Amino acid sequence: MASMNRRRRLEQMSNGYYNLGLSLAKERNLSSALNALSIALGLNKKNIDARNLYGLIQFEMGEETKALISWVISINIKSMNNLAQNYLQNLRNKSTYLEKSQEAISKYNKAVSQIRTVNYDMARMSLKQVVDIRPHFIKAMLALALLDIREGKAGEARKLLESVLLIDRFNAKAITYLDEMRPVSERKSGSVKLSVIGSPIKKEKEKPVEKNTSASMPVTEIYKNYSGMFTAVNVGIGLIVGACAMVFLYMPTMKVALNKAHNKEVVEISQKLSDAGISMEELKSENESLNDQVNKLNEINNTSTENMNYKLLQYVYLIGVIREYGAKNYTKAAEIFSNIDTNQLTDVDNGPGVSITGTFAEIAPKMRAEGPKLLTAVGDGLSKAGDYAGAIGYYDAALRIAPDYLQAKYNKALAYKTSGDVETANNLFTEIITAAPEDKIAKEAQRERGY
Amino acid sequence: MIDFEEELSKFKPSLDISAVEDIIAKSDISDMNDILMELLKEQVKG
Repeated sequence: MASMNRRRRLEQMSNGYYNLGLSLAKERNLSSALNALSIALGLNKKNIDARNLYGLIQFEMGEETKALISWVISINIKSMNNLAQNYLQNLRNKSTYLEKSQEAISKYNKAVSQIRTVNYDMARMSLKQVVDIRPHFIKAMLALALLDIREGKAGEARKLLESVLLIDRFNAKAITYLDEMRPVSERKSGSVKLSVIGSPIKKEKEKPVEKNTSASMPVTEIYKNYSGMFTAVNVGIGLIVGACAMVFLYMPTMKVALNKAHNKEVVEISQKLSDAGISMEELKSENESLNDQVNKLNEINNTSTENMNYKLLQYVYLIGVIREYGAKNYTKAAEIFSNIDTNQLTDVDNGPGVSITGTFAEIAPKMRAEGPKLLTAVGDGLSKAGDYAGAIGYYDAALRIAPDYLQAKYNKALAYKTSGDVETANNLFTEIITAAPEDKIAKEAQRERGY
Repeated sequence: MIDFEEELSKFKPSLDISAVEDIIAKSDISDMNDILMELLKEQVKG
């Protein structure tokens, strides 16, 4: 929030300087306009209007390179609905224009080089060519004017300087050079007048400038006092005041705001860490839940495998029964038969038409009728031999085939009793008495039970 | 009175159009917000 307020305030300040720049540009006070726009861009680099106007003024003053840089940056910042696109498109449509500009710049740089080597005549020639190519290249015009003054060609120099002032109305150098050219008496008295500051600018830059300076750019006391120098001083003071305001007023506020922002960030980070901790707990919980699900699925899978194995085992038993049955070994067949879980036997479609349930149904009646007796007999033999555990196993087998077969249950109870497990034996005797109280075996059970 | 030599020495070479791309690539267009943020972040860190 503090950051947004700061940004907004800077944008507002930037817009203020842009408005000042625009106003100055409309009065053709281009140097001052550039200063104001520089401040606007320093406050907000994304002030597109300020950047475009800055480029436009540079272009007007013959600084095409600076204009291009400004417009390209402008388009980089805002690629849609940007006036800079039109400016660049116009230049692209006039392909020779930039070539000419480059030529002018090269000649100007050559002239600067010649000035440095004190080759003023050559420099003057080069600059004349530059001004012919670009009659609004202010730097070249000023340099040429200075060389003309040096050569004693005041008329030509004045003409150039007045042309400069038509482009940049309060150009500090042009005003200074013009002032220097006037006789000392005129300078003091200030005989040349300027009627109104900010009056409309004449567009006819190409027209030859009249010798009488008052016609194209009249000079008065006000004009003199409000020269570019004063403008520069005023802008400089403005900058210093702005910088002081920034340091003494804005910085402390910013510092507090940033500290607050910093604290807020710390709180936010703490909150995020806390949230991350909670998220971690949630993930752990979710992980545990998923692990549970995996375990359950494994269990189901294992159960499924176990079930399949169990099912297969029933078919194995049935095969054993069939084999023993075929060999007329009915006791062994009954023993295996007692283990079959008939619910697991199912038919499947097959070519030869073999029916498992059909085969089972053929064997089952004999097994159910004779199996329990045969198995009980085996158990009795083992019991007599003292193998009670073995005997109980056979009685259980008989009872799996026929759960109501009282003789097997009674004999099983006796085996338990004889082996010393009276409690289990009594429970079995009670079951017999309850199931068939009138049966002969039930009477014997009562006797064994002690009733 | 103008010091002619001094005045002439103030004229510097102009930027070549062919150098636009390079200048843009190297240009630092930081604004006041960027500078303040950088300064104050350093202060907070300190």
